[in-house]
Amino acid sequence: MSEDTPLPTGLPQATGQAYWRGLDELVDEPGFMATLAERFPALATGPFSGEAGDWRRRDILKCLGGAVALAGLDGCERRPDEEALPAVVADEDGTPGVARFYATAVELDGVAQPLLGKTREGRPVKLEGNPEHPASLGATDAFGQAALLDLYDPDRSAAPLERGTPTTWARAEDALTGLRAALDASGGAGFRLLTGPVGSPTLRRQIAGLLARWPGARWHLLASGRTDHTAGGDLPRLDRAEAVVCLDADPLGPGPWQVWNATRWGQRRRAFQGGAGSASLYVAEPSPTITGVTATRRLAAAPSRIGVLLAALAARVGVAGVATAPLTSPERAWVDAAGDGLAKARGRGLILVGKDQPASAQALAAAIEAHLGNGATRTALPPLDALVPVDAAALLPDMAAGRVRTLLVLGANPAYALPGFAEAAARVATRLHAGLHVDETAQLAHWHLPLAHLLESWSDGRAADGSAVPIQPLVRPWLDARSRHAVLGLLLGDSKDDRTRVRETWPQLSDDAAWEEALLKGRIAGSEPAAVSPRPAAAPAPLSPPSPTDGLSLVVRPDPCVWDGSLAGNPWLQELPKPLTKLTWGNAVHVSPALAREQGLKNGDMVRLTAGDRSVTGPVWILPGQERHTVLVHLGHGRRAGSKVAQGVGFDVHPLLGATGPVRLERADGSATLASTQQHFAMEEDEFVRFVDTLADTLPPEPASSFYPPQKSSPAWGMAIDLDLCIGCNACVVACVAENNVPMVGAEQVAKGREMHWLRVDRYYRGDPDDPVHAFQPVPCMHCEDAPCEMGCPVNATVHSPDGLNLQVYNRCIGTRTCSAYCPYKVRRFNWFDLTSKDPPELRAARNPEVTVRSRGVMEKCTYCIQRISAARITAKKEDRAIAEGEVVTACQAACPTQAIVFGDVSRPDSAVSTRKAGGRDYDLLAEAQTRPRTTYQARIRSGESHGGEEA
Amino acid sequence: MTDPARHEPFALLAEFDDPERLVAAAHALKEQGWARLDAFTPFPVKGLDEALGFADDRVAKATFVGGVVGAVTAFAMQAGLSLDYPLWTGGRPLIAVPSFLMITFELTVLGAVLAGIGTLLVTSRLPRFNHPAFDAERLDLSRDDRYFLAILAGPTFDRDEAGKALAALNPRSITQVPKEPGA
Amino acid sequence: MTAASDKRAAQWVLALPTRFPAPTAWLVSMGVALSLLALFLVSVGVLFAQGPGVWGNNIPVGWGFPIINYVWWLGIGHAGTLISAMLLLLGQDWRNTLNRFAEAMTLFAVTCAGLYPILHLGRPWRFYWMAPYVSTMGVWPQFRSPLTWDFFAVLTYLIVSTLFWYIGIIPDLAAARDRATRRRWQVLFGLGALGWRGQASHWQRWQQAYRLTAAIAVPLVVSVHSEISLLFAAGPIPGWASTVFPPYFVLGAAFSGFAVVSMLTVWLRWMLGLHALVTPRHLDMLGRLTLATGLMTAYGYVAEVFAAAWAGRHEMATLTARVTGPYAWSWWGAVLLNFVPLQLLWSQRARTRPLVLLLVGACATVGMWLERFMLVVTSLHHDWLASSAHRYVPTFWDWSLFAGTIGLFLTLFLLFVRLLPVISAFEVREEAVEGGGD
Repeated sequence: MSEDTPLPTGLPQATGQAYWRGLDELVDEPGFMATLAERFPALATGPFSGEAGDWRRRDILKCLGGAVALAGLDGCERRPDEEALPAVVADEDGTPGVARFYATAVELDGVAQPLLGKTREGRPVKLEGNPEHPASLGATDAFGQAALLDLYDPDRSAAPLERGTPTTWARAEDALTGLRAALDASGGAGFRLLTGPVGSPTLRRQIAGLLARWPGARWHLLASGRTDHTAGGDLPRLDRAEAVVCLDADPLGPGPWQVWNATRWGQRRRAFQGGAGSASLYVAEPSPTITGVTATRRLAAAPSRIGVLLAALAARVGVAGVATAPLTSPERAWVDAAGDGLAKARGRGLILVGKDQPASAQALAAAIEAHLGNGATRTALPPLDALVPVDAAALLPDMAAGRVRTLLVLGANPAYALPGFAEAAARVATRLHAGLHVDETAQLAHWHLPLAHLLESWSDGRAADGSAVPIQPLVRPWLDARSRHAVLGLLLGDSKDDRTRVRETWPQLSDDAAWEEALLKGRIAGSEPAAVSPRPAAAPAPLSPPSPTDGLSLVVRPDPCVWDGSLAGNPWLQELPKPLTKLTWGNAVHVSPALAREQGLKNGDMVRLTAGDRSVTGPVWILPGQERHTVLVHLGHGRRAGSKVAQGVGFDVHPLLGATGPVRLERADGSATLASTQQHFAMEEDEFVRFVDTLADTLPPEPASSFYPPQKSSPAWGMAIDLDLCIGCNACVVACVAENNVPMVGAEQVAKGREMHWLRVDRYYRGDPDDPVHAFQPVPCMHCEDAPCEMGCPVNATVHSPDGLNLQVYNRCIGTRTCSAYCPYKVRRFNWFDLTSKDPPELRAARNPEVTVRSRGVMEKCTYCIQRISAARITAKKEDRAIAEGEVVTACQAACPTQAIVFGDVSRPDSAVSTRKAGGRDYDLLAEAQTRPRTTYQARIRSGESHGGEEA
Repeated sequence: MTDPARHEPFALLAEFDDPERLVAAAHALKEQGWARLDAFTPFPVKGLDEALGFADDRVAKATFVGGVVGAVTAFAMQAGLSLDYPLWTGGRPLIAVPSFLMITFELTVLGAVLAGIGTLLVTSRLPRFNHPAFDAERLDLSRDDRYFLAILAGPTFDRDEAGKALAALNPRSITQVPKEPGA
Repeated sequence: MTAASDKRAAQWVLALPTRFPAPTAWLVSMGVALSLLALFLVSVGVLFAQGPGVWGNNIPVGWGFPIINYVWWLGIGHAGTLISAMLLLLGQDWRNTLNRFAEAMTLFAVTCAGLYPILHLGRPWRFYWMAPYVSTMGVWPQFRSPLTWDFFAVLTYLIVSTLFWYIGIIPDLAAARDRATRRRWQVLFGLGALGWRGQASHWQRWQQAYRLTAAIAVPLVVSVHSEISLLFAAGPIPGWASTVFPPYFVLGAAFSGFAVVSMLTVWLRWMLGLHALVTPRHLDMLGRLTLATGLMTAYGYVAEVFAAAWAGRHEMATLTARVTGPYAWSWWGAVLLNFVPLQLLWSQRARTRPLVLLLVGACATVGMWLERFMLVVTSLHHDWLASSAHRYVPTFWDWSLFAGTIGLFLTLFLLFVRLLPVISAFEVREEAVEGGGD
């Protein structure tokens, strides 16, 4: 029904009994029947429009029940914005069942992640990378995939709050108007604006306007120790780097640049596989990161040793005048390998040093690069504009000293992320907060203003490569929320709509053709920054002497799944297994096996971690490959407000940020159950993940496994997963969850072994736990040709399709679980409870309408995204042709930034998947189980050297 | 005591108190040419069948036939239904003979047993809840430790002849069982 | 024993239901049984209300207690048929005092067993989809699946053993009918007896039917438990895919069954004072059977270890995991409880001691349960991929449902003891007169 329907709005805000009484009164209202007659002619003239009054009344109530229930979903403006332009132009009237894609973006740390938003009947249901945009090339990271659920988060703030009590925007506007007058009078003295990193040119333009209008005002940036890329800096070009050395740096790891770096690394590594140059990756790091796991050569090194390694590396490649310190033999071996790699790839090498390292280390790295002439492997990004925010740390003293009279927090959560903020805030006369949730900061604020999600607002952003992205709404806000631009607009008293604001930022888009082009493509042409010449090589400064290594060193990183905590309310990310530990729903104090042995710790033991005068308490997790005396903790947990999902999960380590002083670890009382999806990581003599030494090597051929001939059919779907490309980033896992309506089950059930992920990324290590070889392995359903699961099912609920899919027929399944018992890969998932019917309407709206929602007691598993296959089949049938190569792209494949996953028709020799499988590195997982899997793997190549490699 | 003249008899019973004498008596009557003989015993008495000339193997035959029918049905069902809605499972052929044999065997057994026991009941006219034998005095002892030899009344039945014949075997007692109960 | 004493005993047995000797003991036992039965109903209620998630099952251990107990109960059931049918064919007359309640035990054990696969389902209300009935979906069962085999096997087994037991009890019902004085007993037994009157022509056909059924029942038992074993052996899971399974399972089943029969025998003998009928000779024989089957089961263990040692790394890994892994207690528990107390039975003096027999039986019963647990859990919880390994911990509802089925079994068995002749009187008499006579 259309949005002006009085039915939902005519109802009192009531629930349950009251709600039905409400309906009752509604029916009795004079004139209602008239409205009803025009809305629902069927009701008025239908079978029960006779004289039997009571009859008619009851039936109408019955129908209204349904009608209003629907209104609850569609009545609340879940409609596309008329101005927004679909990237793939569908028929304009939006035929039901036809999906429309809009180019847009979401932000992480102020870096825009270019996306295509898929909408069905006006509901955004899936996000894909924007293939038109160089910063995405169609790929996404886990965060980008999960952003969809943030949009539908039932815990989002729905109305302004004045001192915690709901109020109207009208009153909020009055308040802001009053504030504006006061600031005009005082020239902004005592006014502070606190934000996270701001990448949106339009927002920066507004802030600039604010600062110009009120010179006394200050803008503070809360970055929680992470870099603000808008200040400019170098952008690594892994696609050009044939030898990459990472020292305590994690370019492939989660974060705003993951997609950029991973796509480029994928390009480089694929070129290497094709024989075009090397792709060596030398990593020295305190705690294993996915970059370290991907490395061709990894060294576990304490943060304090990085400088020493750099110096040795400099000496190795012949940089003059560098003081070196003695190395251990593993360090020496690593330095030699890395040095030789850099030397071989002279001019095409790249050295990345973690931002936690001192400037002297950065300078030395630059010197080495200069010495080797590695200019081409970076692009330097200029600062976005002249604006330079003051660090949030400087805000606290001012607040404490009472120098801050008014504080506006825009899209940040200092009360959680900035230790000491709460106390300092007490001295601030007026505290305003604009955010998506009523979070820790909102609870301290006099005024809380609900912000609209980026996917429902007009804005713009700056992508990883520095180019600008227009952000257009996929749907109108259905909550009473306003965009960040609108909130600043209210304060500044300009009442333009956001679309106009954005267009004003971009004069080159003034004519509609260019504007529409930008919206369709999802990028603003000519916004790429002019290539600045790489920074000049500073003279190698003397390195700070390495601190004694006997003490523990502490590493604090954003959580790989919920980042800095701003995403902690997202169940998809909470239940997403962390790449190396496979922990879900919480964080831990990660220690090395050696340290655990010394202190007699085992997984789950509670420990008190102290750095200087600050300490936190949490459960221990032993992480093989971590440097002996390094302790790693993750930010982003222990949220205290703002989300039912996030609250009470894990512990908050923000207090440790920037703490100085000796690091201590003491056993605390008790222990906790950590919900990990994987219990055994050691791969002894097993060959789950297989390796070849060099590009030239191939795996020994497998003997023919079965008495029966292989299945013949066309198309015959199959998948190839190149473990040499997989970096274990989890993007595929979340993509699968979003595409296939995979339910989340919560920590307790995960701990019981009942997670529902259709696609998991296994992580193994081999060798000495103190310095093992790591490997990732994504495991979807193998779609075996000789599938044991099918043999087990007594009711034909899992059978084989003519095109080679192992089908799971939900409505035929009676839940004997034999299929799962017989599955050698254990990829099947069972609905132990009713996991879906109690979902709130918001979450139902987020579901993909093309995928069945499974009921209690049935088995489910990866379907190779059968809905996408049949969509392609239908199109092909309509056009009377065969399904084209590359026409079917599974959700995991689409998301993968390194293109490790290839899907297609194995019956065509020319298809990409056949080419992969024909290669010498192709193997079946568990060939001895003789299941003839359609999903096969390509072995990892130990070396990154184009012509043989000495590494092993 | 009943008056025989007024009542059609069902049979005349001679009571013995051990199975050997019963068998012997049965032999004797058989030699004298009595055709319609039967006996009532607490358990199957060895040698009695030969003595009375019973050789009924319908149960055995039925068991065999039932088994064959069960086997054929089972296999036909599995093959037929697998073809009726052909579904590929596990890369195995639609008609997987080895896997079909299990159910075939089970239904063979089921068919055999049902047929056998069914025949037992039908040929013995069971269940039957009213029968002259139930009203004969002392015959209930045949469930305990008495053994009765019966000359069944037929068209040419002469109860005096029968009485004499039975008396000659000097049983513990001779009883007449009337056709109509409650006399 | 003398023929005369046996005759008296037989009459006394027939009189048991009408003049029950041990009302108190029975009532107490029944009280226990009924409270367990109540627990059963509650557990099933909770299960249906919430789903199989109330159990400890997970991925990889999708099969937990339900399948363990299913196999365990069914195994126990087999002993009744074996005692009754096999010994009948072998002309072992001493079985006549045991077969009646041994068969009853079979029926009730199979009932408990049959319930489990249904309760185990994710959607129990759809269990009938296993049967080949004409459905609107037009889909049929998948006849290559061991579960479908089991469905037919268990169904056949239940029907056949019921019929076998029933035609066996008809003559005694007739006898009981004739000696009953109270109307309600006459009706109960009368209906049950189907009008049996011990006519020689009937006896002759009855004997054919009874012996033929017995002759068929023996291979049936073997086939049923072999197919149960295929439920595992057909799966490509290390520790399952083994050709030794069918005989191994059948023997194990007989072993656990004889153990339970021994326990029941001792119990009934004590409760009903059956000393005249259940003589030391019977206990001795039961002891021998238990010992024999137990030793064969032990051989199965050895054979399995041997097979694993030759079947490659994964099988070997599973074996090591069983012996040393987190569930080693189930493997060692099975070995110790099954085979150590068993050795007592080598001595005749021990065999004829009711208490010894009871304890050995109890040990073996628990031991065989542990074996089923070991087979299901150790194989599944860590099968092929190290990544998918996960611990399995049964929950309260697992245990309560298990205890509940025991309650169901006891209730049915106690009703049988109370209402029907627990011993085949006519066969005892036959043995007394003909066996004792000549």
